[in-house]
Amino acid sequence: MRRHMLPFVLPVVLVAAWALASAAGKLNPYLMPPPWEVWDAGVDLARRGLLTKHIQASLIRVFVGFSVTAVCACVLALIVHLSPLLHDTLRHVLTVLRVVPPLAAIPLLILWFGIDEASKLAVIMLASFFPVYMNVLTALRQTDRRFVEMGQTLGLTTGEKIAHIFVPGALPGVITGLRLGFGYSWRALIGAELIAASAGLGYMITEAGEMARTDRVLVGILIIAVLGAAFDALFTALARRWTAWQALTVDDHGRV
Amino acid sequence: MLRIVLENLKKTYVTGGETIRALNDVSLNVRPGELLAIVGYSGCGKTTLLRHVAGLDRPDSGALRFFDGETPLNGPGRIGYVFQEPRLLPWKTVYRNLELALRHVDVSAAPDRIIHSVLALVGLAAFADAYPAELSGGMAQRASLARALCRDPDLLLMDEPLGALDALTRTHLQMEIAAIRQVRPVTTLFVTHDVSEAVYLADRVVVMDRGGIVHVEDVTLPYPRDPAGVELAEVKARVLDTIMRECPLTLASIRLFANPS
Ligand SMILES: Nc1ncnc2c1ncn2[C@@H]1O[C@H](COP(=O)(O)OP(=O)(O)OP(=O)(O)O)[C@@H](O)[C@H]1O
Ligand SMILES: [Mg+2]
Repeated sequence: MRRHMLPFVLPVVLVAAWALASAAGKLNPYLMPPPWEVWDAGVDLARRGLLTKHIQASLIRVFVGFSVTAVCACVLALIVHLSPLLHDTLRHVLTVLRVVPPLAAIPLLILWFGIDEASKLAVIMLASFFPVYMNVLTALRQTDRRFVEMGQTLGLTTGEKIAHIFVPGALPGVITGLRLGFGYSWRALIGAELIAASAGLGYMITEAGEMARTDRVLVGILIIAVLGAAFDALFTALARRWTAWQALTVDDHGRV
Repeated sequence: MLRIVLENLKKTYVTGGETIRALNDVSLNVRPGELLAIVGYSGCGKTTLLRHVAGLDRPDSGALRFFDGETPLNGPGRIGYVFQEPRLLPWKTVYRNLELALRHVDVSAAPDRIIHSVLALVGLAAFADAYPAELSGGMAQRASLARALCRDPDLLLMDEPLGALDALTRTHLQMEIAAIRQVRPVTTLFVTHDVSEAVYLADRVVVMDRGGIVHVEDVTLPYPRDPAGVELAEVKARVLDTIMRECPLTLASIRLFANPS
């Protein structure tokens, strides 16, 4: 069997085990409905157009929230890196913001921004800002000082150093940060959609949970999982492309 | 042409509680257009000296002055620095690395022509589109040499530019450097561990030891020089003799004598 098929084996085995256990009557169908019922629930939701509606609502939120965060975090990291003074000024404020779980801030956010999109976006931003910011800043810190010196002897301007040395040198770290940050924002989405949403995968799950529709809850969870994994794969593919110069790229299992 | 005056340069580093005098009162006049070779044991301060001239480090005390004839200059002007390690940007091809080096250079010919001819000079014509990770150590060093040369610099700082090369390629490039100098002499500081190389290329050879200059040997022989000639051998013997006399032998000397030729 091909090596690249290997990561798909375990998921298939798990679903098969789930199906077998259900068929054998080992699982309480109210707590853990069999896979085919989950599938039917998904098809039903899709037929009624609910699935696309919820997916669309969630995707838009995540993309808007995450794009704004990613841009802000990268720019702030670059500015802070180039200005040690600003770094010291912001240090404690950023640390405090970083260690407070975004969900803890939800009551405040609702009071500040109301129950509309703004407060949900704020949760996503709080959740994904720091993974991106910290990774980008670390990556910039680790930019080889020897390359910066070399650029200095070439008489490069600050802008040229950013474009030709800092940014490409930090790119692998930036991509790691974006990957992590996207994961966080995707997860925070459920928290965000607990806030009186009327659409979104998080809303769909909460609603289904209140009606004890475990099959729909599972549909929601599986869709979140599959979409999250798909975007992660997309990031990895982009990372490969953008950092092709790294003869050896390490994936998260340390394989090269 | 660029003239450099170094006055009583001092630089100490403190590492692990130990104070190292990397530059211990260095005074030196670098004449316009000359190639000054710097030899000395590993750790005697050669790289530190070059870094100060390039403005990458500041001395604790002392001064560096730059002149064009008698006119004082603010700095050395355009530098071509061959670092001790290649320092090629790994995310750029060899060609793009050189292109970046030409960024602030008003070139007469098309940059493309310059890059290709310099790469041909160092024997890397076929590797313009290779990434640094795809080069051998010696090839990367030659690419780094090409990057410094293509800038048509006012000042060349070369830190063991031929150190990682095989004997044949090294001889070849020594001849190329000598040939270039006959056409276009550039004020050059050239660090090497190879005394033969130093006397073959240099107008003067500076012997450093523990942060100080212990001897300056004039090599007055005209170009082109015969690397195997008697005259050169005599100069070489004098330099080696000074090193034996002035610099107490330590294990570090193994590196110096690891390249007899
Ligand atoms: N940034 C630094 N921090 C601490 N010590 C340093 C630093 N740079 C150089 N030194 C010390 O200064 C001394 C001179 O170093 P330098 O790199 O100039 O030697 P070198 O003559 O170039 O040696 P080599 O032939 O091995 O390259 C050494 O003892 C080194 O340990
Ligand atoms: Mg050195």
